[in-house]
Amino acid sequence: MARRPPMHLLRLQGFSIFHQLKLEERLLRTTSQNWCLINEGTSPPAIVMGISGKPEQLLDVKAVIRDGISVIRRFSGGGTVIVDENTVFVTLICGGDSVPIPKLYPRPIMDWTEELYVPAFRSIPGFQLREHDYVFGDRKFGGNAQSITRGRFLHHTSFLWDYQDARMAYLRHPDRAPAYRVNRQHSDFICRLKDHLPSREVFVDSIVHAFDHQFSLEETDLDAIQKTLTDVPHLNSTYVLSTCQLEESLTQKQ
Amino acid sequence: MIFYLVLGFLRTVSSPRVTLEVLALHLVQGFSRGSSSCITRIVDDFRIVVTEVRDGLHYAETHEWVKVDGDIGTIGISDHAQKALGDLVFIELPEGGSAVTAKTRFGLVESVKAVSEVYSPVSGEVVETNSSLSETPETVNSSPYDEGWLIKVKLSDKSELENLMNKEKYAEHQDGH
Repeated sequence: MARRPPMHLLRLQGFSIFHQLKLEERLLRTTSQNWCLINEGTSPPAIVMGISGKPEQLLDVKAVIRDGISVIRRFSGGGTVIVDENTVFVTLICGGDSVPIPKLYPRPIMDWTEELYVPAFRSIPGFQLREHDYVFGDRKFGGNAQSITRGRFLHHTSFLWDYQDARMAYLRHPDRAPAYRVNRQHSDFICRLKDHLPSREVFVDSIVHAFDHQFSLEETDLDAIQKTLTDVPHLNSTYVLSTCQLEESLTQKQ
Repeated sequence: MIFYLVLGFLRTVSSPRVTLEVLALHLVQGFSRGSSSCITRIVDDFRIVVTEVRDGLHYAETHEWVKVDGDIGTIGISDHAQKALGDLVFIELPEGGSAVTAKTRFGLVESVKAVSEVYSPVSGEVVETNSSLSETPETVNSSPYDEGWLIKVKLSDKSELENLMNKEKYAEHQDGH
């Protein structure tokens, strides 16, 4: 049996998504190890945009300001999500020499993750990677994004264990949407994992079990990680947009 | 089944080294989980195999190129890189006047779901950036060696060019990386 590369596993519950993203960026840029972060839920709800996201195009900015929803710009690419206590976050941070991907480009990485997740969703018919989304049939249940740096990459996913339609209303229909969406409204395009799996615990355990096929997982905790991280200056691209910045976006051409 | 075999044959003929094993992998995946993703992968692989490597440029291992004219180097990414990255939707470039260092990140490109860093092949001072890319990042895909240039740099150490690859060496390199 081929040797499985080591991977640190950090399991969190209700951890701040902003602090999670800051930690992810730090682990990607300042360490050489493999990491898996699983965070079950975040509170309060927050909107997370990709690196190039424009609030005026992607959000109902007035409603976001009115309701005091945090808007975070993350360091990876991809689209906009609203996350809350019902979102399960799974992040992989890997060195290129630890994965069977000949070239660290977006498509090969996405394809590899599909293979990685197959065992976790074996009980659910129709699981596949469709364009860049994890779907059951034509319904998306997880959004992905990546950041690729020299010899390393990060791939993170926000899984919809459950969601509230009212919160989805903060998000506008994006200009760039996958072809398979075919102009469907959000509620017709996405689905809830809780409708397919018995419990969140079973879901998370099945992911850990799936990853354990390819990596030798070593569970760790936040304190242990903080002790090992050095104070290396690194690019820090994750931040919360201020109310002022959101208001300013309303004056931009949409 | 016949379609996959034809695509696989074309791919193997154009880059024989590449992958009977990849073809086999795609076929197994196609049978096991539906044909659409299998076709996408084979077509993507074929597109990447057929790339332009332009003469007269110096290439970095990380797939950037520099064209030197006197003390000024024009920098962009190769045709191989733009194909492998996919449709670009956003490009972040440094400001004019900033310093760049060889083999160090100077910007990033975003393609649908992924941010990838771009590295400078040479050191120097940024004298011009391609501002049109803020509105039309897809120019890098359609014209990676011409209208899709990224920055122009006043070179501080021309000897760094000796560490870069010519067309032939880069053509070999891109097949393996």
